[in-house]
Amino acid sequence: MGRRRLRAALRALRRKPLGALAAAVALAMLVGAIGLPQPRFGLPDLPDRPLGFEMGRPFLARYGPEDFFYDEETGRLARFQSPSGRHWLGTDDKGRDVWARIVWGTRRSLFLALWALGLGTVGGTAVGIVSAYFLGKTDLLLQRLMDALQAFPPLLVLMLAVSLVEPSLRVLAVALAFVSVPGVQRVVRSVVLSVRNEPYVEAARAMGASHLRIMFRHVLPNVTAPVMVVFSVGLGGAVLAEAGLSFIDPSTVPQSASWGLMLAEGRAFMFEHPHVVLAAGGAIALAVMAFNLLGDALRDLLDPRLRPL
Amino acid sequence: MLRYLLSRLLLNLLVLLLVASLVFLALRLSPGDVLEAAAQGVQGDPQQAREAVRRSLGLDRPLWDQYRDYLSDLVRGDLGQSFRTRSPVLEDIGERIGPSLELGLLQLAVALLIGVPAGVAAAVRRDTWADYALRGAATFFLGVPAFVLAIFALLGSARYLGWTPPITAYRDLVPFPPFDTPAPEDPWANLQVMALPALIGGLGTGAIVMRFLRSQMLEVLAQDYIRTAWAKGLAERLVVMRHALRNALLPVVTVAGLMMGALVAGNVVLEAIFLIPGLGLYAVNGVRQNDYPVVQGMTLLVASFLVFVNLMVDVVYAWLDPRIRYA
Repeated sequence: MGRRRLRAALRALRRKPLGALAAAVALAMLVGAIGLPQPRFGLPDLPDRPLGFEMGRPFLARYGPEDFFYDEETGRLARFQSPSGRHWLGTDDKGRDVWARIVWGTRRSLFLALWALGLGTVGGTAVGIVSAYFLGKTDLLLQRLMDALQAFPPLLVLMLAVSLVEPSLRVLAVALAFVSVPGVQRVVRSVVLSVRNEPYVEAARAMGASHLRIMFRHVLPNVTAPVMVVFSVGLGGAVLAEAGLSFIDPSTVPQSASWGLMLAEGRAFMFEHPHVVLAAGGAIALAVMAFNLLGDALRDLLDPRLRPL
Repeated sequence: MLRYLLSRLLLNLLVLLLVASLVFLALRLSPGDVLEAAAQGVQGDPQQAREAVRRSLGLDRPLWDQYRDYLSDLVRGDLGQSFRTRSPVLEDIGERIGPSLELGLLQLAVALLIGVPAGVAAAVRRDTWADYALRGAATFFLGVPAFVLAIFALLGSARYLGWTPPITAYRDLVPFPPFDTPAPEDPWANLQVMALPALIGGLGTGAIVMRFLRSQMLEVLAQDYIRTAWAKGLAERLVVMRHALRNALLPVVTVAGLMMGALVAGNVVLEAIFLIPGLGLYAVNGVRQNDYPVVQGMTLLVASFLVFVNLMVDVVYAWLDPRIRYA
């Protein structure tokens, strides 16, 4: 990270103030949703062990997601309280703190999206590179397979996944990764098609480099910029898909604090106590918009050729 | 051209075969299949009931036989019968395509009526406050998911307008209504039900149209013949509408056509919220009830639509723009 890099980054921030704001929002959400590492390790699992170690209470949450509260005066369950110093966004129908649940839901949404897009991007990049590098029959078959995958509506794929296998957030992440592969590979393939006949690829081949080496050392570096764009836009899509599924089919998804679930639950009493749906809907909208704007800004900065539709 | 068309058609059939096989396999791989649900209504020993249901649905036969029958039915245009209601899937789809199509067309109308003027205005007044405001609105409607907008719209219209769409199941809001509630026949009531989902879906699509048209217009406005038109002293309206918009609109029309497919298939959430008995709701209910033939039929329907619209777009492009030639 030299000084020049730093200056370039600063210039980018000045040129894209909206993108910088979006990046700040996304970063704040991520930082607020992680917690102190606990000495418990295991295979990554969602929502509370996304990186292989257990995370404690999110930095921004003051209470647990299922903690419920009693009214100090009446001693009864504090249902539907309006926002106050004690409960920043009020409480819900079970007397739980809405802000805390939003923050715990952020952890679920963001890490699910990160895992899904991470897996999907690796898969999509591999498919795209292999397809465009070998062309011919390989390309034809792979592309028709991708066409077929793309023909499945994403929401249906997610619903199928949780109805066919024991529903868990891991399953959802894998299903979402699956859904994102065709889009990623399409972008990667188009980039690889344009570089596969470059002189440096030919030179590598003439020197007797193996296909694998050429793909890794000479082709792969070209696709990092477009892949970053696809990744950040895809994050918004993944957040949206998880929230949509939890909202539309709340009984089948894993039951941890979740924006979509809060929206679905809040719907039952939204006309009398709208603050729960407003908070949940606002969180979903903010996250999706932040990732979209971030992707747009990245696209303009990294790759002017990829114009948005 | 003919050769290209034929090869594309064959490839499309291959894609559809792949889709059909994938969905067939995915459904059959499930461990706790449809039987649990179906056998619940049957009297007597649950184990026996499950076996009986399995036999009557033909799920006890070898996978290969099921697959062969499924494909041979498909070729004859038979999508099978719903496991739950025993009515032919094709007929069900025929009944439910009306409301979906209506909603889709209304959304498209909203999208074009708002997106096209907004796109033109944003391009002509580039980098003014109007451009920023329009682009900001587009970003908003692209970013805020339809179901969030729908909830907020319901809330807002009930609070500030004192109006909710005339939907009976409103208050207790079953997440999945029984899908036998027909859409209102009376055109006025029907329009009231459709108004909010049409507006919400239309705004999202309109945002895409607007952004696309804006960038197209900017490209066209920089062309030489536009400068010529200005130099001739033509009025701004003529330059923009006749010389620029005409040339910028062509790709937009194609995009709009493509979006039609997404509209019909992608309204699942709006249909569920506003209780519109269309295809989206049908597909979702099919998945929830493990109704294999319904899921297979709907997936194939959506897939064929996508695949053939894609082909049509390519052909229309070649026809409209003589520079494009497919070998």
